[in-house]
Amino acid sequence: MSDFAYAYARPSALEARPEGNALLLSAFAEEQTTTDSSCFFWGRLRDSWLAARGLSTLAKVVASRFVPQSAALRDPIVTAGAGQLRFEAFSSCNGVYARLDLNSEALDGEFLSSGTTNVDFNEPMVNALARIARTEPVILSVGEKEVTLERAAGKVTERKVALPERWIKGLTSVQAYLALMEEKLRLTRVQAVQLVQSLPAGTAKADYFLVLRGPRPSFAPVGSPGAVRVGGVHRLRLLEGLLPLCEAVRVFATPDGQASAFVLELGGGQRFLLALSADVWRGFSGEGNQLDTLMEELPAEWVAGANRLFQGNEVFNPSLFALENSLAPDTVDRLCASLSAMGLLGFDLADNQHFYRRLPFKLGRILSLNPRLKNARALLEAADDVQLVGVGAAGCTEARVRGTGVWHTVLVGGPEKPRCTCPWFSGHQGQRGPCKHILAAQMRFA
Amino acid sequence: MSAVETFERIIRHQSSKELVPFLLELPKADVIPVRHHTVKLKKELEAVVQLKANTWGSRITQPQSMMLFLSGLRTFSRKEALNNNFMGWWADLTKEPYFWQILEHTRPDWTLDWLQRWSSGNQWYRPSYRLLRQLEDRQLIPYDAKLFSASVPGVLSDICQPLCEVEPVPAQAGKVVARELSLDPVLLTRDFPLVFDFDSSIDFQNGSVQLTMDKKRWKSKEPLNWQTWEKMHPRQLITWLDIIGDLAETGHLDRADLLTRSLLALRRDFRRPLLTWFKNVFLTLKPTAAERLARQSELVELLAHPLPLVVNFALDQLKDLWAHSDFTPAPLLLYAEGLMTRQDLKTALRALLGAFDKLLKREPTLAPTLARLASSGLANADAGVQERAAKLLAGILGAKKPVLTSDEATEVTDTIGLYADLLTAAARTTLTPFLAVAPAAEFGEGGTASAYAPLNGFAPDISRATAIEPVQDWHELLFLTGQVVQHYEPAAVERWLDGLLRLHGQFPAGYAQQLRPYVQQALPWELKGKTEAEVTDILFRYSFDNSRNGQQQMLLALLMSWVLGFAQAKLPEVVLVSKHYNSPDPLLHLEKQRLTVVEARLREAASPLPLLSTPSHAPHWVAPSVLLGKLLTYEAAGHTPDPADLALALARTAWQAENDAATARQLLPQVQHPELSKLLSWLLAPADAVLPLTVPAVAGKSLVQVVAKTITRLSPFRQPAAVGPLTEAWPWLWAVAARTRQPNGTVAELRVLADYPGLAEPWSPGWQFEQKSNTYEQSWNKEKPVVTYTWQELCVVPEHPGQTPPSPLLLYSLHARLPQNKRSYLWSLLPDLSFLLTLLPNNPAPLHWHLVRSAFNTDNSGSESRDAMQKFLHPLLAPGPRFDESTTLLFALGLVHYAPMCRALALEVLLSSIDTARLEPAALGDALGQLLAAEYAPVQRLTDVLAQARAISPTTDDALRQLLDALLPGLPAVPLRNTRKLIEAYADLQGRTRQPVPAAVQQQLRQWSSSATLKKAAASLVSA
Repeated sequence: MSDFAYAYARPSALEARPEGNALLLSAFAEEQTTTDSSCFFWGRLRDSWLAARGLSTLAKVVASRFVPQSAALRDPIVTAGAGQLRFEAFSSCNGVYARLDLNSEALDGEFLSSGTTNVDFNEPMVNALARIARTEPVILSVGEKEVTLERAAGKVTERKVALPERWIKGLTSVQAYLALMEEKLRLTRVQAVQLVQSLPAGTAKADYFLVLRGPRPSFAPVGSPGAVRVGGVHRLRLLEGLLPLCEAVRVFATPDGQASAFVLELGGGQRFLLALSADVWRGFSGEGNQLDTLMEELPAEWVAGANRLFQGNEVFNPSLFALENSLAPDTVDRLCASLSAMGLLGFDLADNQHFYRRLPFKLGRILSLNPRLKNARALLEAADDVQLVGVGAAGCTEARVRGTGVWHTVLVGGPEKPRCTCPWFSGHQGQRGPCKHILAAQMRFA
Repeated sequence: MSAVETFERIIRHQSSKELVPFLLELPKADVIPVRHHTVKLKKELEAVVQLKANTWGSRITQPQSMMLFLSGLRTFSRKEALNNNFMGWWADLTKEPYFWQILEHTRPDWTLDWLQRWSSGNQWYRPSYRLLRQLEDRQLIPYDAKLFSASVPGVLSDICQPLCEVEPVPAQAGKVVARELSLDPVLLTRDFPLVFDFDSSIDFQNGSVQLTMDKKRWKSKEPLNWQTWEKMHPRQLITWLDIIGDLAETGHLDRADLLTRSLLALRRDFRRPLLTWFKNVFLTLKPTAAERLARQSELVELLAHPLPLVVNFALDQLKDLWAHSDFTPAPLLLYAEGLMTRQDLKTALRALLGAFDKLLKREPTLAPTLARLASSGLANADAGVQERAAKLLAGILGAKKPVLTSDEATEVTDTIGLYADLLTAAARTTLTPFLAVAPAAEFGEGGTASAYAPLNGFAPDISRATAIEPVQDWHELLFLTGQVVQHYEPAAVERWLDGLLRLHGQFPAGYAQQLRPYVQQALPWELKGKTEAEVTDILFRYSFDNSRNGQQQMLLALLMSWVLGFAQAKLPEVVLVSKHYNSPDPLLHLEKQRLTVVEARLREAASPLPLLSTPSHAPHWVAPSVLLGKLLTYEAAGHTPDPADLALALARTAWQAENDAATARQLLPQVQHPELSKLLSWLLAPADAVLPLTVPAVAGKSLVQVVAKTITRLSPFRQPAAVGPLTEAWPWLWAVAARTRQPNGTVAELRVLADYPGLAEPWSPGWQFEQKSNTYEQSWNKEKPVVTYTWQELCVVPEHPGQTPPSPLLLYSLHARLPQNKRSYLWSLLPDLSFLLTLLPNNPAPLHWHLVRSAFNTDNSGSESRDAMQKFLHPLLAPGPRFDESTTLLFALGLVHYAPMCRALALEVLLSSIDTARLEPAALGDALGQLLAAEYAPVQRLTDVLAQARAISPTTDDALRQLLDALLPGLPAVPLRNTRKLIEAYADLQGRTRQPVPAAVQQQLRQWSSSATLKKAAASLVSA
């Protein structure tokens, strides 16, 4: 993991001005903006009180951790584009992903440039958010509007933090999960309050399943038809302050129950999404749900071309995109996976479309951020680490792949899911993505 | 002699006196070699070695440590200096002239970084404050705020230490220390305030003054030890809080500054103990109301803190300021918005809502804001918060002189209506005038709720939908092995065993190689890094002697046997004997017999026959037609069934599945074996045509001989007998079949076999509570020298320990009279419980009673009880017969279990058992009543479960009503704690189901009406 130094021109702050408060979010983008301006948005928040609650909850997510490890406070990233601001963050353990979407209805201002940036979330600023009143006008600035000489002379607020390669891995997995999710439940405001009250006490060590019992949402320790699996349910307490304020909650989950998401419709063009990994000890960064699609390397120029295209579109639906451009759906899936593996794509559940994050286009990240893929390629590089045993009925291929001190039997191709005799597969049964042995066999024989 | 050799000689044989001139004159070219040699010597001398017999330690002396430290200062680069091992904590460096000499000469550029690393490495051995000040004064380091702040807490003990050496020690040592500190203005004005800005150890680093223990100073006749010394020279503990109080009083520290700084520090996300210390600094100074008013904005800012500790403190400091004219409520109300939705604040919110009442009286114009905030409070789960919020709202809405406009009032009323379903009884009563009238009936058609009635008969679903798919091919078997090794799930294990037998002839050549990864997963430590030959050797020699053997070990033995090509029978090596408080469950002997049969067949036959007891339908049923089919195959192959396998097959047979049993009956005439045919005809007979039971005499022996042999077996000292051949097993197989079909009836025909529970009479023990106590003495506590703990213990009675059953095949009798202490079975029961529960689907009562006495004799029997309860509850979620007494008791124990997870699971079982009509509400109510009356578990646990089950459906409500109808009369006349909640839940259910209150409940409620706390709740039901 590489360290990445944020260099903010000054700390973010909530400043009192004659025309009202101004929430000035200091930004630092890894990728330079397309325009000369270092400011992404400047304008008024239509419901500043609600937005402040959303940002406070986001700060809470960033500061939280659910496994015994030291908390490393990261700064959220903001993507400005297509008339929307999206604030995204992960918990320290990477098992919780949160996003606050502010669309044009929530904002009254100017998008000075499109892009993705880190914003400084310092403690005094987060504290000040709690002071914003319901009717108080607040100006929001993401980045600095005026690039002045003072900046050169002024003190640069620089913080050394271990960045976010883990975040990029997490962003990859999250968008893949979100794209697969289906809406399972829709809760009213009162049900949302009941949801908070029905959270099991203490730290949940086992899975819970969200069900509707009569009109009441409840968390049950066993699954049932229509129930939504929520691993590490105590993580939902992050939403305690926000749930009573929302108009409705939409609950999404992947068909295999490996991730769930709660979309809080806050009204006034504001939406808060909280996605949870399958278990507390499973960070999104460690999931391998994109590996299948990344397995086959696409020509670099294809990926680069798609990057340029999506960059311009900013939001797109992959199916429509495939239709419009006469592309096979699986090609679009692989293009999306490749871009997403660099952290470039996000997914909007409510609108069922991808959005583009303007992060550096680094093809090397695809491999470096997916060690299983890298290890599978290493197996293929050795002369006899992946051997064909035979091809069975319905194209099912049996291979022998070298493991640690043993040879693993791997079955790929055919109508059934790939299988392997390694501990990773035996333990997870393919639920956390394929192992390196399956990947290697698939790359060679499938 | 080279520089390195000289250096080594000095370190080994000389002193610092010779070393320092050497280091000061060391040529530049020799610095690096000496540096390397310093590291080498340090490693060598500090290594822990055996010094003499039984004594280990390092050979380094303190002078050598000092010399190597000085060498490091002179020669180390940043890399070596910042190593964990390079510190100077073992000496007071300020008094070491050589240290200063070397440092002044060398002036390393890493000094500050070195001190910072040293300071952050260990909170107990930080560089002293005096050392840092001297380094700064000599311009060896620049001033660094964090470094200095970390060393400030240690100043106290540094000052205290010399005071301990001089006799007599000052009587008021705290004052002396404070005076000493007051003489250092740099410390007080520049460095001490830093402890409010950085995370330091000031919350736990204090000082103490006590004369150092020394024989020469001991003048008493009593023996010298620390206790007598402590008595003679009491220790004076000096805390920073005392010192701060003294210094603030004398004006050496600015009181106002301290107050403000402690409030600012409380805003930070410091450690909780440190935040408590800042809170205590503020409280130590006893700020006046004026001082707090002057800092109201700082106090209000603390309301945004995530820790309730800080929020509660802030509200506590503000609570007597609400009514003050100088208090500005606006910022408080802004922060209150965020507080009202926090579920972790209870005391704080109650205090805040109390404050709103006072603010309303002072400024009625705040009513709209306060009403909105109070409405948010209704969403809090805490009953107290809701009650306060409701009172405030009722006050605002019901004010004689309206304080809200009609629009505002409507908005507030609408919000209250929105939360109506969330309100507790008390809050709802307070707000009743403002709530819309509820519809007449919430459930059911025409206002009547559906009545609940338990299931009368149960027939397992034996159909294609529940049929278990056998393993298809080698690959499926291979990967299923992985699941068995990793997850050990009973259904997968049964499929795997079946697959092993079915596919025996189809294993590919070299299959052992493919199984190798799984053996390695099962034995990771033993096989790590071993070659093929070594693995084979280890597997051949593997011993199960030291394991707590159970089904898992037996399956491992079978896997090993498989990998070794069945060259060696491994199952017999798995010994099931009682040892070290660990007794194997008696059913495991049968499982071992069954697996031994599998292993033997795999060793002997190319196409082995399948097991009769393998479940054919989910969850663990053997379909009668499948059993008949297999038996016919056995006969066609000229093979006799194994008695253990047949006994388990009979126990799992779904004889109640009428359609499949009819199909099986059609096959019965083809069965050649007369005894088998007779037994199956009896077991599978239609419900309305039960045949007489005829217990056979064993071939070659009279019934008298059988009985005589049985009597000798009843000795308590016998080990479980081995399962004999089939010819001897028939009487016992008849007994198994009889108890499978008639779990509770009397089967007089079996009386001739033996007088043992589970034969002629079912084993139906009772249960009761026995009060147990434990008394111990605590001589050191004069006020309470003897402590007696009493508790209620749940006992299964009667107990007749130590009589071995007449045959190990008697599945339903094995647990009745176990030879060992009942707790000794829990350890082996736990890992295999899920499997054992699959063995007796027709009559699980004996296993359930055994579970009750082994795992639940007290409320908090530890994690074993929690795990056992979860394993017991899971299978109850599936459809099945009506709960019998043992199941109902265990289920009741689950509903009031100490572990929330068990209660949550029990709630699911409660709801599903109502859906599937398995629940016997009256029996459950009765059992719960007894558990609560004996105070085995608190009432609150049950009321929490009931609150979650209310208003789900009319049938659920009715079943719960029936449960409480039976429960309430069983409770004591002197109400238990939280009985009110139980009555409120009952009233709620009565309101929905509209059934009359039974006479027994009426009588109980009348008795309770005399209690002030229950009067109101009980009265409404009594009059109904």
